[in-house]
Amino acid sequence: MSIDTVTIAGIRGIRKPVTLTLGGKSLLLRGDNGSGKSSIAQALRWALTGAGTSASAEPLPSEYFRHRLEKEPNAARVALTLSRGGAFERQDDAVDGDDPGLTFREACRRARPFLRRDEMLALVQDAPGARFKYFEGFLDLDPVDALSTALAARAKSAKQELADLERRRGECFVAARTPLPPGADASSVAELRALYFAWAARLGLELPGQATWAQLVRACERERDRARAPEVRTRRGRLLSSRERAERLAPPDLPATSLRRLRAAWDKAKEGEQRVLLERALEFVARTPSPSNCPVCEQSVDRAALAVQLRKRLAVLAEVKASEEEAERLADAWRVFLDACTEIEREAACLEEAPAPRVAGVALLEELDASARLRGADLAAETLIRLQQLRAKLDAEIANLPDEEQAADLRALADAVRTAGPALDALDRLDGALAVATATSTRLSAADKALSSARKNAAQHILEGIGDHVARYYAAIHPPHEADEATGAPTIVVQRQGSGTAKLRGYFDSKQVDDPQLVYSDGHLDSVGLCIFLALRRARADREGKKDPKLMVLDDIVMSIDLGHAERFVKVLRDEFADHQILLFSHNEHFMRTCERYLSEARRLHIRRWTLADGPTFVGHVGHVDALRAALGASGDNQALALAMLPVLDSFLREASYAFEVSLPAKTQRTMADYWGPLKKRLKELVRSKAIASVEAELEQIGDPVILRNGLAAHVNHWALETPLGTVQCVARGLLGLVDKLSCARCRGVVRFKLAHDPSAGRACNCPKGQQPTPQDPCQIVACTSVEGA
Amino acid sequence: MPSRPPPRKTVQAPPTTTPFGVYSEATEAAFRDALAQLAPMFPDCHGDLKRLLDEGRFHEPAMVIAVLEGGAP
Repeated sequence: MSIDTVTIAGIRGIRKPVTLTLGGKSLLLRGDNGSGKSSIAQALRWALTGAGTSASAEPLPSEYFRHRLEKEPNAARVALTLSRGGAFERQDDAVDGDDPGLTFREACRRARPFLRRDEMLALVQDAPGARFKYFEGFLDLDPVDALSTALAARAKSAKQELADLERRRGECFVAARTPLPPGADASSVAELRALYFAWAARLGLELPGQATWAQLVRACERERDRARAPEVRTRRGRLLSSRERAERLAPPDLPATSLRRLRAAWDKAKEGEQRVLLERALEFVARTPSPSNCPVCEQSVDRAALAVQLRKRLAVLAEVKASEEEAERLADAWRVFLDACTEIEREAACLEEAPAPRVAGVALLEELDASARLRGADLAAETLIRLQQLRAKLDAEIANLPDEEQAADLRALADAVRTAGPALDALDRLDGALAVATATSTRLSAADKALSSARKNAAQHILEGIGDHVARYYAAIHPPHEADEATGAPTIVVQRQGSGTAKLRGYFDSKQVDDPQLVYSDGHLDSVGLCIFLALRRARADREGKKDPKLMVLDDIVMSIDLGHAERFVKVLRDEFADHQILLFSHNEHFMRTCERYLSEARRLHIRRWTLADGPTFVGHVGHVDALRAALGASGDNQALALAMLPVLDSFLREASYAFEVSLPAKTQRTMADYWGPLKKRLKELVRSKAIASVEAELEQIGDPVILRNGLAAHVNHWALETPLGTVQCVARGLLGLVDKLSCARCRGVVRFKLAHDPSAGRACNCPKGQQPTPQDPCQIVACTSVEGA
Repeated sequence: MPSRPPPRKTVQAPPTTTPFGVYSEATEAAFRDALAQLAPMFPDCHGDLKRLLDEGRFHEPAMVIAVLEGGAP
């Protein structure tokens, strides 16, 4: 796909619409300075890439657009049609077109096919980093850059998220640690929790072995509620009071004698039941006269003795009664003691059930006897045990109650747990989020780093290959075997420092120089820049295949290059870029003629004039030979014929001298005689060797070319005016005949012989490789007919 | 003329493209190199990344980032 027509309006020197018809072919556009060549190149660049230069994506500044300068409503516009269908148009910032057109535009945007002299020099003069960046532009790494940019942006935002999470975690950590007692320190959430559990353990909070935080929270809440409850305070007061009473309480004194009397009284207590009988018997004995028989058994009874016995018995009973009274007294003391104990227990609510009512007196003694058998030690032990049990029970109850001091700690723990709980939960969540964010950030950063590294690797690898192209092209333009060639092909050293560098090194007198600018001439440096551009273009075209637009727009790129090297450069274009549509702009007439010889298929245009109002005016280029032929056939004007002969004579003289390897004298300024003398001699040699057909007749018709050339070049063409028309026509025919015999019918270039000592071995002209004349292809070259015949 | 170092041999690598042919040679090489570097670091997402590359979707940042972040591609 190539450009068929271009219509430009409103850009730089082009105001009104100007249309160039290329027909898909290359273009050789010649024009003087200020005639609008660069305007066309810049308009194409604007339309195809949108940028002002190849190295920068910056758009063209406003000064490039005429309507903006002159404040006209018309918009800048460039419209292109493509040779195989497709079109697009850019009008100001709007681009419109069909699919092929837009595809072509996108391909051009990526291909960077434009080169200006300043860009060419920048390729040599730029810093290695800038050069590397320019090179990278040809590698079409946009997808990599886009992904890298996105990864870097996401990695940055992930780092920001990570920093936010870490900040929030720090805040939460402080919030979770602050409620802890001073001095408590932890570095993790688990340690923080452990500190809270340790605090709870210190306060005696009963928790299961593997208590969870929720269990701790519940226990703390419960204990806090307990510590806060008023009944606890009341209960504590009551228990303390009971404990105090129990402390003061002492069991009744039970000396051993009392116990013995108590036991004796107990043993004889049953005898008390005989008191009435004994008293009746004593009364009976006292009332009955003695001696008398027993009223029951009728036996004789000694009443006095009986009375004595009865009195003894009654005395014993009196002792029993006293013992009973003593027992009652002891029992009362015990009852008081036991009642006191019971009362204390009741008051302290230690008893689950109300105590049974105590019996008094002997019954209590029986009860005591049932457990202690009224042995002194046992009873004392029983009493003490009971008292100790009461005290211990009270102590346990008191201990089980949160006391005032612990209540404050429990409240502090409960408040701390309540405060720290959400913070710890948030820490758990944040730790999870941090783990994810850290992993994400690490992955993204690693991916970004890997992609950047891979990008450099790929660029380095490919650019090293491009360096080979540069060396090859430079060697073609500056052949190493040339005697006066001291410079060598530059090398490009790609390194991965920073964003990548591409150092340019040259060779001078077989020695490597780090900076070619120090030793290369301006022309050589231009060649280096050209070769780099061509190498990049070739490499990209090869890589992309059909996706590459195969387009090159070269604007005034041989200003410092002499015609000999420029010719080799054009040969490189012809041989290496035959698949490209080359738009070549130059003011140099001689260079363009050289281009015409080698790029014979190119469309040739000439900018005749330029005006501010109308812009450039194009005229189709007519070759000098064709112009002379036309003048000979149509005109009867001597002067017109003479004027047409002059460029033909000049170009033939220069080309033939080069093609036939004429030895010219070593002079700075050569005269016409310096050219024609050796050329005629060389032609005769070739005719003699039958390398070319005889040109004797033509030379005869031309006469003395030196006189003819001087006459033609005179300011006032006296030769044309003074010579008859027939003679002028004869000279013109002779000149045309000479050119036709020695030139290729296709490229119009003078046929050269590759080996001077054996001219028939090979011939060459300006046709592309593979299309040049061969001995089996005689029809193309009139001059070679005789050779083939021979 | 003194001899100068011989020019290096030019080896034209065949154009490398994905099965879908969407990447330039440099881009393809860079992507594959990056993937090779990431493989030992993140073996869990290497398969998904390789699939993206084979499908010609490695240049879609959202997809690649989703895979790296553990989301479904």
